[in-house]
Amino acid sequence: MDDAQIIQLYFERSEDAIEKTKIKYGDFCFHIANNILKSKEDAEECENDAYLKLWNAIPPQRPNVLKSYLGKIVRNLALRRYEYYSAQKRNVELEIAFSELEECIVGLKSVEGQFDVGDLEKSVNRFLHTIDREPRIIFVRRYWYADSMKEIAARFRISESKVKSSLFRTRNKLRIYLQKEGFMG
Amino acid sequence: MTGKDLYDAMNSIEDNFIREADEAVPLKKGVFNLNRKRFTGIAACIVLVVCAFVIMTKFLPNLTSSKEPHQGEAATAIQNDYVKIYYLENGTTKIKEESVKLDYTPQKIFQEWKKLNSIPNNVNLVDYKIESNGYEKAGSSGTTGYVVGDVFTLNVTLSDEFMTCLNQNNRTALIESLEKTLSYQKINFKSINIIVGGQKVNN
Repeated sequence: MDDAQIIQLYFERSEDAIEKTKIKYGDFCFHIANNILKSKEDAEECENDAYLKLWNAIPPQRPNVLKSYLGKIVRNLALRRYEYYSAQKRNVELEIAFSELEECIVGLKSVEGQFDVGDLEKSVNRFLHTIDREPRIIFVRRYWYADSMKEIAARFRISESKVKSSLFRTRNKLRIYLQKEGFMG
Repeated sequence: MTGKDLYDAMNSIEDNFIREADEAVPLKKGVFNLNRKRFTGIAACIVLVVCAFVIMTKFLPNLTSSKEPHQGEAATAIQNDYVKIYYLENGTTKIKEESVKLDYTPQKIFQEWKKLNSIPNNVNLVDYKIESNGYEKAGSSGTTGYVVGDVFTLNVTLSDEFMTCLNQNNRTALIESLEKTLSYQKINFKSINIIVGGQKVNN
């Protein structure tokens, strides 16, 4: 069943809508949630919450790309849930990813003060347009899908060190880009 | 601002970046560093494979006979790529398409087409052959080269049971969906012949 048909089911308030979404995108949602939460039970709950949120969003929303729309919901829910975790349940891999991105903002004026989330999101989007496809794919796998470097290396059949250096270069470029965009230190 | 804020900001990236990273296959071209040594090695391998193929077709013709169905399947298989499968929507003559991730072989693609069009299991793809106007050319030093053609014809043979799936209403659309599905390779075919029981069934 294609996405337009699934979305139509939501508009018709058909109970099949969630079932069809789960069949088509269940693994995708679970993968994202589990990468962030590192807990099967939590990831499953998060996945189910995402279906409910999708059910409430459509209508009136009509997403252009259902998969990434749903992916954003599940990623957001997983991150919010992660914030409530106790120290024992911290996902080391995710904490590493946060600290890697921390490098991009050292010295920026917004580090200590206020910043506009919307501006930052727009800047990140514009930045992704400026870089080559391959480093961009690696960057998105790491910081959107929360894949580990090992997983990225295996997925694209390249060495882990290559992934590491690509991410390092992209983060440096992002840092310079954010400075130019007005987040200057 | 923290690293986590930046991580959160990533949630609003455009859909096409998410899809691009989801659908990307092994990053062959740019990520692999094609230095001269590696390039020479790859070129040498290609020359060896071409030589082996020429020798096999010249001296061992039985091994490359096209009588066997699915012949060459393993050699042309590219694992897990997206292929567009065309099908008739709910018994109508409206052709729809669906991208399916599967092994890039005629048999696998035909099976998926069958599934989406509810074609019975006893209908089989007997042969899938691409013919061209390429030809062998004898060189001055006794070697044989191959001149690659520029006009291609796709001949697809199906088992006789396929005729039972055709009726006056769906015939044109069903055959068209099959033609579109099986011409998945990026080749501009001059003609596509669907053959059943020795007879061409398409226009």
